[in-house]
Amino acid sequence: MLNFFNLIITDIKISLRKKNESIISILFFLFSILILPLVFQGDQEILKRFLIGIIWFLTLLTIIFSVEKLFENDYEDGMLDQIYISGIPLEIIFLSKSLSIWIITCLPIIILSPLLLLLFNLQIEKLLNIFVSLLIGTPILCMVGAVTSAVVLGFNKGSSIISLITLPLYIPVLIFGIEASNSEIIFNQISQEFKILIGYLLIVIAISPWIGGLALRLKYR
Amino acid sequence: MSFFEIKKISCIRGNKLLFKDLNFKLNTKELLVIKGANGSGKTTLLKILCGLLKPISGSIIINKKDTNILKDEYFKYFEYIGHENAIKSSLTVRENLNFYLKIKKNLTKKNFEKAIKIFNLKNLLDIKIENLSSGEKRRVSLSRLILSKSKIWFLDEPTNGLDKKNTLNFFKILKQHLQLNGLAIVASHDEIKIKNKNINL
Repeated sequence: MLNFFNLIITDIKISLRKKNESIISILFFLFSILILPLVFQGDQEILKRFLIGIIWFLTLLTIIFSVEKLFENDYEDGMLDQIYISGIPLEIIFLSKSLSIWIITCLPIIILSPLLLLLFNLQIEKLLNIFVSLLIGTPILCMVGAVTSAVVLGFNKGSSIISLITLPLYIPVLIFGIEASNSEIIFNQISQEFKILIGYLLIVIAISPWIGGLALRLKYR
Repeated sequence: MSFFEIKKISCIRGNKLLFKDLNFKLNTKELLVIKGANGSGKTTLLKILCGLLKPISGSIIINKKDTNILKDEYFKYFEYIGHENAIKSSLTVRENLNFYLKIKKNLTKKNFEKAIKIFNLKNLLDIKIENLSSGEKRRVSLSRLILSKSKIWFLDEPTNGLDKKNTLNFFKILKQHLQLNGLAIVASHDEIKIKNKNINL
């Protein structure tokens, strides 16, 4: 358990040191949203209608880009081998990697998006909705991405094709995430979409460490 | 009865038979040097010995126990220095060593000062790895051997990138390790002046 946190702390430390690389994905997200009014030629109504969808879409893109080489660096410089022979289970390595990428890329997005939406005059209740739905949805995206990255690890050719295979797994998150962000929270009762999203999250948390661990284990055969 | 033994190990990599029915026995205080041309499977053999790859047949026996039964327990018996240095370029030397001290159970903080002194890393401790030369990086990687309590050393071209002085220094350390009931398996192109067994792949 202690090792789990050691791995995460080291990962976060490394990404904080490599400032340009870790900040670029968040800057991408930030700038894309800030130039939206230009794309919609200043039409407030259309912008408001699509804003939440666009935020989810950009979050997905940011995660896919940053999760792509999650294990690649460690694999190439021999670190993954050393961590493996230190006796840490591959499932724990997988979990720590997915959690650290979530902290590095998603946490800033989750905190920033409601603030950004404030700029576009959205209702306050919507801000809470998008905050909570991102909080539930992004770990799913990260873990699915991490599984993909573990599966394609070590393949030089055709890795981009393999990563397309897991694309359908992202789609439910997008659908229900957007629906949940638009839904209305009535007192003491969360909407159907949130429940589905939470269910999906729990399934992914339960399954993905085993698949990710298995995918990594295949590299050591 | 020898301490470390491999029986009938065969390996196929990418449709190519690298070696077949490889056997050897090693006792403590003994050194095995693996020789062979590029691509003959030296690194692969070392990775198999570490449990990083599975051979298609054969078994590794340590202290009368099969490593397939030992599983994770086996990792405590050895320290492996691979072809890559396995150090993070954006961390300092100290942070890299501390990371390994935290996650690997066979390393001990007790020998930290000694490792720094032997590999002459004192002035480099708080410098980021990305600012070091390749020889210095190799020394950081090798310093893990001194931190380690393990009996067995698996070394893949350990002197790669080291200058003459440091190479000699390294062989001195290897000799000391062997004298202290250690055991080492080294893949190297260098001529090793320590008494050794060797296999050609």
